[in-house]
Amino acid sequence: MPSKWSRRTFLKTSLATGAVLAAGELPSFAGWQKARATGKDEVLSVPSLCEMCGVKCGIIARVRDGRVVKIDGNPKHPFSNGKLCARGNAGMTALYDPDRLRQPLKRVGDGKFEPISWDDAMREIGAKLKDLKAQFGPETLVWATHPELINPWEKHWMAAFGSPNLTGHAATCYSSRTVAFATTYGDLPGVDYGNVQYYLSPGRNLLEGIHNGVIQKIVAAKAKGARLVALDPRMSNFAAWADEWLPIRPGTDLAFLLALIHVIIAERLYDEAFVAERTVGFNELKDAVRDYTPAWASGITDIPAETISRIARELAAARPAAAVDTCWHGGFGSMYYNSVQTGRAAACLNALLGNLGAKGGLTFSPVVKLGKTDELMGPKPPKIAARRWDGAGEAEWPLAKGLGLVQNLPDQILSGRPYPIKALIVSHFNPVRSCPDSKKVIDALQKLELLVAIDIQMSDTAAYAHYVLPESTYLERPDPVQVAGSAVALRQPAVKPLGDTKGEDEILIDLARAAGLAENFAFTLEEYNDALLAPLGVTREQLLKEGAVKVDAAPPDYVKLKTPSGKIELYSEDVKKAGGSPVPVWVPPQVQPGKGQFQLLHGHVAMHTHTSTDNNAYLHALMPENELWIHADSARALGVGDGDLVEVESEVGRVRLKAKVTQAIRPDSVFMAHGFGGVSPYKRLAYKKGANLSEVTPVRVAELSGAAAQCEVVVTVRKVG
Amino acid sequence: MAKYAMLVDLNRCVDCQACTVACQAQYGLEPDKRFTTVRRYEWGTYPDVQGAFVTTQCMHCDKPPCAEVCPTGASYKHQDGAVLIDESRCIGCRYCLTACPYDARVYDETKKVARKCSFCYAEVAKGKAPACGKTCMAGARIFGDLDNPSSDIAKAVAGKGVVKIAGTSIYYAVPRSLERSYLPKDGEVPAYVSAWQGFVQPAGKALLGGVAGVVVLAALANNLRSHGEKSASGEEGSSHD
Repeated sequence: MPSKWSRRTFLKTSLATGAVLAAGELPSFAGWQKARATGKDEVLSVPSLCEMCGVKCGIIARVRDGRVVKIDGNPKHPFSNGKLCARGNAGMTALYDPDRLRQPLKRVGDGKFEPISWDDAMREIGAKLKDLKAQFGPETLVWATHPELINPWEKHWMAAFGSPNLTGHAATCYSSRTVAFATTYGDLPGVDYGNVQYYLSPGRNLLEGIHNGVIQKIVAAKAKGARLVALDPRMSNFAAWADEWLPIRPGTDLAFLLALIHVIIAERLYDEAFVAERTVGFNELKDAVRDYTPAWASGITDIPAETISRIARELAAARPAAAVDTCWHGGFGSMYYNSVQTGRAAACLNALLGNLGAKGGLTFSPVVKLGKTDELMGPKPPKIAARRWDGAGEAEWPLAKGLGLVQNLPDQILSGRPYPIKALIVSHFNPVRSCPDSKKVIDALQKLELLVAIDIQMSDTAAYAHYVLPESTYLERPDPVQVAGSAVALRQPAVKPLGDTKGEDEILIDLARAAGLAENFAFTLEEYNDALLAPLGVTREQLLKEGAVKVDAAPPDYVKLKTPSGKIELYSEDVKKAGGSPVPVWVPPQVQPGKGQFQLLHGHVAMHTHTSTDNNAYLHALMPENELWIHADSARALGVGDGDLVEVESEVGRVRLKAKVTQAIRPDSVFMAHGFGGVSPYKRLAYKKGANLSEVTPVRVAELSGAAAQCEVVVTVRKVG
Repeated sequence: MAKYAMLVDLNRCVDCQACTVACQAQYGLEPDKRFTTVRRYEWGTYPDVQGAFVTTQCMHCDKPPCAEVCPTGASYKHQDGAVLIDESRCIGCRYCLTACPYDARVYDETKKVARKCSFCYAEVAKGKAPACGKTCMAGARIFGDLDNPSSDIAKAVAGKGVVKIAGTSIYYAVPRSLERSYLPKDGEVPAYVSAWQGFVQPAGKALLGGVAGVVVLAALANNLRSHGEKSASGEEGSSHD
């Protein structure tokens, strides 16, 4: 429990929220069970979109007596094709979670909340925002979000308010790979998973960072004989399922990829015609990798030189249906200091395989041209004069435009430099447990003059807010149109909101009125969606009926890319201007475990999403807490047995959790899943279950992208029980 | 008449647990009660370690010990192959939970009955697919009628690397590296079930209806359970959850 909460204040708070909940029917697991057991055959099927993770698969909610009794995949949606993952199947338990928020709350004392009406909350928040804007300028407000379908509205809201400081979670997730592929390909390609014949994953764990559609395709590819190779210091589920697991030293995938490039160029295994016509900078790349032999890389990566040579030859032999993943998180999404150069090496390697646009290679999404909404959204807000708080997209971080450095926000709030941040609105986002250094985040949140949290549950961040605005769950609200491949899809409420909650569209409109921005939000969600759909020949009514509808989409242009040269840039002037090597070169990771230390690795699990599903009854029961994976030899040396309680200590904090003693991890590394160790006492199932990873993750800033490099951390481990 | 069976292709299974939750949601199970599970197993010594995922569920035995011990006939083998429970006849004595060699049954504290995978018999009767297979992103579960030669299941069981769990309705397509010992064992009727049939079941039937009967039955069952524990224990292995 946060230090400032005594048990007494917690009890008082519980009573306050409890009183609110008691006003209507209490959502509960038993209530859901009862509704589904009524035996009535009358079931309404409502097509909509999932939000148990960010993928947003098409679903069909089965509704009986006003209750969602079951959720299935929508066969018409290209991500789900009628299937769902464990989380999607557990959506009802989020809707009927007895701990969820049901009415706006206002903090009235130290850790104590009282109910407040929407009108009063909006009036007070609006007055405070106007006051802070007058004192410190509009840039004193930061809006931090995990971008969802409503994100364009959040951008519009901040533009209208005059603040440049809308910040996503990219730095903790995908900044580095986005920078790497944007500078090489002008955009972010994906892999044609369904047709790939040779697939190399540098740390992407497809089986535990689940994208439903991708799973369906990669399983089909494997069944057709594709060879899958996993680079990972730990035998993740993907590594266990793949044909080959290479337990690489953490943070050295770059050396491995550089050596692959070396072999493919030295042995002339690359697609010469493709390289000549479609790329720039081949000679510079060739010069850069001259010394990166498999023997050199072996010393750095711990992978035998002959294995590296073999993988290079196998990849080349399978081209163009061979691909190196474009990644998230682990590998080169955001986790290491050198992730941009790692991503650039992966991008160059793909180019040497000549796989862009080829069956089984890299692909761009088809282009669906939605209608314009400018006229609807009121007068164009004036150009914003203030600089961004984090310098993203500006002189210091030119490549981080649109990505941001959210991990630096606590330091900025605490220091007040380069200017004071006094107000923060957080939506669908929980920086206390998803940004590094929880303690620092909490310190910073407590220094704010205004913290507003928009969420469906009392997240660890919401627990520190001045105002908590309860959002309706995805089963209770509509949202802006989704583009999914060459289809468009729509979320619609399956049931009425159970409590006094609102969709974020309504919350933004109310907040705009309260903050004096009414003329920019004089439109409704229905009007907005109609404008988006207008040129596509699809109506909202069709989408409400079908859930997802295929539309005419332009095929992507693989020849004229959005890079300065229009070609694949093996040599990138943009990276050079940002201060990096214009061709991929070896950059060592920032930390290395010394004697008695371990590199701390972390990642996702299949049955949970970040910190948002830990209180879901079904998913909690499947995995209530995380464990520390530790190699059997390392454990023995520390006297740690399977299931023992251990303490993990880093430079910023320490946490306790149970040990899982295994052969499936490098002896110099330990691993824990992200998303556990809840600090909000309002989420009763999740509270204090397992370890909060963010408490031991220090704030880092990776070169070029400004990503949070959360795996650049060494820890010690000791047995405590 | 049909002969229902399921094949789980463990080359495809990705350990996502969607089948587990879809099934729980279909039947409104308490979060800690499951009709089907997925476990990860790993073997070898670093760095030569391998792993695989194995699903378990009611095996729909040819001669189900659960039905053999059921004092009321609530548990029975349907002519189509599914082992079913008539909940209206279940007295909640839980002997079937003890008798099941696969630990595949749960006790519903609210309804006071034993419950288990029914191959989604009611759904199948309406022409629908079992909930687990319907949601499986990996397409790992193939269900159908073995007596229909053109069915997917009939074709699938004839495939390479398919292991039939003897005496049951479950087949696995198995990755080359996965040893047989990680799969559920072949069906066999535990020794204590014969003892049950010879003595306890007739006694129980005679006593049914009275409190004394239930008490006697419970005492006898517990006694037999400890006797038969070894053969009734589930398969071993490390689970990651």
